[in-house]
Amino acid sequence: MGIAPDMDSPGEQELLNRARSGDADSFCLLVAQHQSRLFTCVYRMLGHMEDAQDVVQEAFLNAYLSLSQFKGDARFFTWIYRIALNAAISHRRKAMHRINARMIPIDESGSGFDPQAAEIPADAGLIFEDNSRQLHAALDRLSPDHRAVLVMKDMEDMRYESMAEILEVPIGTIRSRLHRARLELRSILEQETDSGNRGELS
Amino acid sequence: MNPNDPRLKLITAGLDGELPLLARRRLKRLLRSDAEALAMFVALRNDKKMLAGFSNPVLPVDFSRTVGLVLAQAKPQRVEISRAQKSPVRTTFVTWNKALALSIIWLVGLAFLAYWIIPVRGPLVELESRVAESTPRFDGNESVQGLAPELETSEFPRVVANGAAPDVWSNWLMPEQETRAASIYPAEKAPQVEASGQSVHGNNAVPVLGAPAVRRNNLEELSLLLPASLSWNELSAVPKTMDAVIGQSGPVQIDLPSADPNRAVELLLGVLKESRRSVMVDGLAMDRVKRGNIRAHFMVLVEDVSSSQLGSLLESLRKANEKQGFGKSGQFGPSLIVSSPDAMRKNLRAMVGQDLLAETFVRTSKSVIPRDLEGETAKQALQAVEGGRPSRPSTATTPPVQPTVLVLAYSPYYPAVKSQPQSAEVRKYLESRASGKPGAGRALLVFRGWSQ
Repeated sequence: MGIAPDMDSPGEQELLNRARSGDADSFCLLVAQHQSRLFTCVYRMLGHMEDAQDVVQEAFLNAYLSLSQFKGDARFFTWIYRIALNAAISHRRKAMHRINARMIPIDESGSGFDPQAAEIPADAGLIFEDNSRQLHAALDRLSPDHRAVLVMKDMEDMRYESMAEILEVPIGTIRSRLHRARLELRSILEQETDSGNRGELS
Repeated sequence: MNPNDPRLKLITAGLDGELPLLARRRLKRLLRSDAEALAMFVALRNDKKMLAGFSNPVLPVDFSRTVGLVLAQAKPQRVEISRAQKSPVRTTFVTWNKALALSIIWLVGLAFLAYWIIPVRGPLVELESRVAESTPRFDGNESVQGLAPELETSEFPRVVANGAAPDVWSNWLMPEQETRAASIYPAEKAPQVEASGQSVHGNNAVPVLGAPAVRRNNLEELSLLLPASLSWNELSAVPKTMDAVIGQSGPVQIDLPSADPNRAVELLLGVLKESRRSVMVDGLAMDRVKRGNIRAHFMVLVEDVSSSQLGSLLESLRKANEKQGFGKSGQFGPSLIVSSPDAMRKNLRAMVGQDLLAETFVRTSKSVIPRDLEGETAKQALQAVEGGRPSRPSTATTPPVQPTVLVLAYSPYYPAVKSQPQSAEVRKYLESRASGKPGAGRALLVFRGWSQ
């Protein structure tokens, strides 16, 4: 999956021009085009519906106020994605100081683990739920930078080049962050498993 | 698997489908021949699948509508503001000016509070000044005998004086590390320690290693030397006086904040090489020492060391620091001798797999401990490392003691990156570990980064 499937549609440039000249309705049409994907990313970054909602709305408003700074050398979605992701990372850093890292987000919106997509036998439903919770907890314990690359690569299926463009770092850094993030996630999951086993034994 | 392991990079890129054909073949060969790599590949692939399995969340609101509403409300406000600015009364401007001035005053006040009023510096200042006041300075002109007689007979200067310092990289227990270590610290780069007898430590050797000269009791200058790597809790845990440190029954830790911990450990390895001690460097630690651009923190556990040997080691480290051009301006910050905090012991236990400090420095009687430090020298602080027991006098007939040193690394920023109990070096160390010798103890040196 690329990062901007319909970025170059002729309507988008037109909408951008109108939004730059102060037409808020045109900007709202742009928001409608990208909101779903942007919200998914931010939600996966934060793991919390309300926080994600706040961050996305803030990102759209910041983008509107900074439209004059958008030079058009990157795609609009890349630009707005960068704004939202930076806001999410910043929010996550602040939250990590006050949220218990082991707290598992409980989401009532129906989002969560999808057994079908993971191609795992359906008769292992309980295991999925358990694994999903473990994974959520492990993701919460990752550093924001590591979580961001995992979200972009493993959940959003972005290419290294796109990730590097959004995060404004070299591709080598993306590679390095990715394998460190995976190793850290693995280590946390193993710790969780070990502590779970010990708990069962005692 | 070590995070810097090239196999891991190959596996990750393979999982992401970002490998060219040749590299893909290499990966296949690796997975066929390397069970550990295969296990890691399978585990990471499962994690990736699980992450990909998260379904998309349902959009809770239509942002195009909510953003539209906000923008619609904001529009008239903008107009109002622009009209207000045109009015002759400049109340808005004055209000903003006031707010700005108040904010600056508020920030300056906060900064002042953080650095001067909150008494977190108290223990350090007192600790430093107590050591300085209670110990006469050794300026190199007076006799060393009165200051630290046991250092004159310690192993280290004698070995060097006799010229019997062969290539002791061969003492390393991991042969495959010899070449790596030698490339990092070749023999010609090893710090040359003077055999004149003046290498015994002055009183600053233990509490301050190559740190900038400071006026004692000058709070302003001293505060600049506070190691930034210590957390609030750790600073608060520093005992208020040296008496309190020595009076503790727990293990003692020597904290060595350094501007560049990698370089500091490299210096230490050179010093250990010269002093013919057996060193066991964990793979991760060695890797971190080599990679100057990836900073790490290090734990160095020195086994079976007497206070004189430890003093000699620290003094040699200080000298090596100066010889390498750091001078007094400071590779090292002010060091601290503290009761090893629980967090540090826990960290060490996680890295080694067992609590090596559990039986260390347990004192049976407090009466052995000098209660009054006034007029005593820093060597007594070092004796605290031995639990107050008198150090064994070093004589010509005593066989040279070569305590084993274990060097481990960890990253405070990436908790998963640290030396592991499963590593070959740690396992070997534990296997070869003997019971402690009388008159000797263990010291935990911690090298942590701090910004100058």
